Amino acid sequence: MENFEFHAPRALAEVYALLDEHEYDARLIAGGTSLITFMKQQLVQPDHLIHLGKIDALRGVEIVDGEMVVKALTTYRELETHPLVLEHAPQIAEVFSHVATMRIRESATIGGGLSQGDSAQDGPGLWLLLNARVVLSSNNGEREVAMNEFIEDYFTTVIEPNEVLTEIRIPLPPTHAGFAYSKFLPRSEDDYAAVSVGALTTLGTDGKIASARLTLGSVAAIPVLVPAEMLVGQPTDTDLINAVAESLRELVDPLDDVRGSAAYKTDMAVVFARRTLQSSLQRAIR
Amino acid sequence: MDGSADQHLVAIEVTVNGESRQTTIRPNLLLVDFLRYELGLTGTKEGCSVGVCGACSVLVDGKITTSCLTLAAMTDGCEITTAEGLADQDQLLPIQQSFIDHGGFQCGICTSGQVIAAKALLDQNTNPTEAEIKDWMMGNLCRCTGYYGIIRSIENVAGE
Repeated sequence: MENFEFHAPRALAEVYALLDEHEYDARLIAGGTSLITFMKQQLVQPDHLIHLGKIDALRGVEIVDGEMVVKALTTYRELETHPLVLEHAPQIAEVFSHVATMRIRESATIGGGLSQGDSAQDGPGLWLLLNARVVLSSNNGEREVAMNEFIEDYFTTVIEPNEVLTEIRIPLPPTHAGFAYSKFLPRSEDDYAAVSVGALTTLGTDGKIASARLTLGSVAAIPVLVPAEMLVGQPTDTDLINAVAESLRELVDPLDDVRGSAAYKTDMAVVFARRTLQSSLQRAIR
Repeated sequence: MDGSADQHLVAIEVTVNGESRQTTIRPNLLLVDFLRYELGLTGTKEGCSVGVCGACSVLVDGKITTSCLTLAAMTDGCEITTAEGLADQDQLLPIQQSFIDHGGFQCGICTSGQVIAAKALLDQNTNPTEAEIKDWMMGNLCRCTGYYGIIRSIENVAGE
């Protein structure tokens, strides 16, 4: 790893000033579990590394106006165990309790993971499923970016060099919604998924499907939202679930890698999408 | 690396195994290398270097941490515990004795990390089930024992 100048500011204003000064020569670091591996491979070689670990304003989970606000330095382990998460959005804890290993979850942060812009991580697909918004802050104030616009390409986000990802805002899923999240893990439990699928559905009082949302990770440069509106008004055993799952073939572009060929991953995405939709409908309350 | 970047240094103050250390280091020094080469604490091992194997596990402010993916500079102000810091003089922790009594290791390369991980588990959950032990210890790989010795070692001090 190349050497660099290390900064450990205690306030966000100092971070903004450093970013304004060093722009593309600076990178932010939080838990480091992802960025350090990139730096070891010399894929990223910053001249200035700005450690956010001492900025207490970036810690915590709150409920504000019916939304969950997760500050950037919240670790995966904290999301997995936080009382507010377990009470208001246990779906998030369910997903993060199966990310990597305990040791990584103790260090990896929500803001750091999302800033990598890696659709193979679990965060992006989940945040897209839950229709979350990302807050980017700088000396010019803050702006909100919808999750479906946040990642533009492999490891590429809309974060400008003067901006810090300070929090994400997640609308609370309805308590009667059915949620399911599944990963195809052909190598090991702690690996990046070959395919990850999230589904969030609700039922009307008549037992018919009232809403359906389906997202995919690991199968394209960005997390994928699969249109599922055709399910609305249908019974939960509708054949259209197969049609929605089959339609994703046109939306994905997975890589051939050690976890499988692109064709295999596409086939498995269809299978996992169908099963995950069915599971979410089974868990939805009329 | 150019000459100017080579000169970047950072001052840190950490407590390692109860002993306060003030020192100046290169910012790109990994925690595992700081412990092994600056402090001579070679109990912490480097295995995979990418955060998968768990051999380099240490406790930072009580949390299990991947020292091969952590810069020493990031631990400024923190309390670090390595395998060397677990025993009180010659008095082993029960979990350390249990690894000896129940065959929790063979070659030993992963053992420092295994014991650190087990300590972190027992600090949070004094009486873990077998499933909880397996889930927690999943991040510490062992190529010798087949894992059951490790699980037995932890089960035998659970609830104490």
